[in-house]
Amino acid sequence: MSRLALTRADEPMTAARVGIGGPVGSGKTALVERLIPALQTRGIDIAVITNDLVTAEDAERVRRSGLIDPERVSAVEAGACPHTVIREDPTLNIEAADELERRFPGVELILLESGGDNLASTFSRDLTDFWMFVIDVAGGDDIPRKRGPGVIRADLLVINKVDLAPHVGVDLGRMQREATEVRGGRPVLLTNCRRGEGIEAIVDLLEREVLFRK
Amino acid sequence: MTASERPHVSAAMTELDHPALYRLMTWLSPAFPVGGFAYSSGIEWAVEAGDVDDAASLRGWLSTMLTDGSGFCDAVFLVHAHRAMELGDIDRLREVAELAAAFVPSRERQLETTAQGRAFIEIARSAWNSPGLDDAVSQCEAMVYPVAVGVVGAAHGIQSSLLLHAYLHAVTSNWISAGSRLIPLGQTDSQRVLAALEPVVTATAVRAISASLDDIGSATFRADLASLRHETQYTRLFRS
Repeated sequence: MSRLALTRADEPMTAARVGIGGPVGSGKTALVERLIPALQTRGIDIAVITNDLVTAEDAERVRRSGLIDPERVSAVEAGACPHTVIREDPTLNIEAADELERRFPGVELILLESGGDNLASTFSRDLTDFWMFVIDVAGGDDIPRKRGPGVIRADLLVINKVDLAPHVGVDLGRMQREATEVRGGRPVLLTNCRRGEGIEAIVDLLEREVLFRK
Repeated sequence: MTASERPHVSAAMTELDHPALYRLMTWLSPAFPVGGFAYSSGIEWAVEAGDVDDAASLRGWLSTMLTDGSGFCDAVFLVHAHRAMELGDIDRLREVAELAAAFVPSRERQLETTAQGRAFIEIARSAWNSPGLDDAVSQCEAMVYPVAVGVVGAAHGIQSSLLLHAYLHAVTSNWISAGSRLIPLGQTDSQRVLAALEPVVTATAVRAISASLDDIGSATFRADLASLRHETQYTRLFRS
């Protein structure tokens, strides 16, 4: 007879759980699509959870990318507000991560992509061991100055679409400086997910800070 | 004083009851992390189909769900799970848990009740563990939400009547929350529906306390069909 699974905060988790949050359209799914092969190339066994609001669109996009066994992509239909399922009550996501660990016992790292939200979203520490917040230059260079909890509290801030900076009148150097300043010097990395630029630096950081490999 | 001598919530609380009150308020609050916000028990389809479109129709729909549907059935399962746990009769508990799981009318309602049951047990174990709870849980294959609440409540010595009234009221409140987001209703109308359903919650709990497992039965075909149809509903805010 199978028994009820008993796991929660006080029991060891087998895979590191890495959250990816950020506003709608900042490039969270594109980052996931770049991180998958970059992590796999380094021999890291991964799985992915996406949080969609009313459809499974992001999950389907990742499943059809051909980058990862579709069985390793789990969709959580969050329904209500995207921050509810990552912060106030992460039960559905914890359940999905536990299930992936049961089905793929060797999994070392689970990427958990939040639904697009505002600058205030953060991840519960029951859910993730490390989380990053993705903003993009086209959203405006004033975003770091607004000091939202997502920008301030994330373990890593990613500024995406850096190639667009000259086209939207953003001084990238200043944006990065201000971001680093409001974050008290904690990491800020720049990416262009469409071209795959800046991804290796994120994977380096994950290997060092999350998997303790380096 | 035993539970059987004190069947109503209205009995005066003693000092000893205060921790029980705190735990009931916590465990059955919408803030308790069991994911309750993600389920509508088929109400999302009822709104889509036009069966529920205002405060009055929501009140009517929920009154029937309480009296003749999953409200009453789950209440009886909670009471019997509580009793078995109180007596330390694990075989009996396993039977109640299996029957309760088999009684769920649709796949999404099954997800709703088993996922919440599992989360309820896990967080209760982590923050309020109690002797005997681990053993009881390990003997059962799955615990639907009302069974989980009954088992944890009994493990903490909370009398079944208090537990049941609090559970049914919380479930009703969660249904109203779903309905009010979907219709949508204003906050004031939502509270009016809850206030109006109080006598129905009370009557259902009182009936369930003395019911046997043979008394269980439901006649809410439209609500059950709604929870089946919800599986293929195109735009969904809820998982059930």
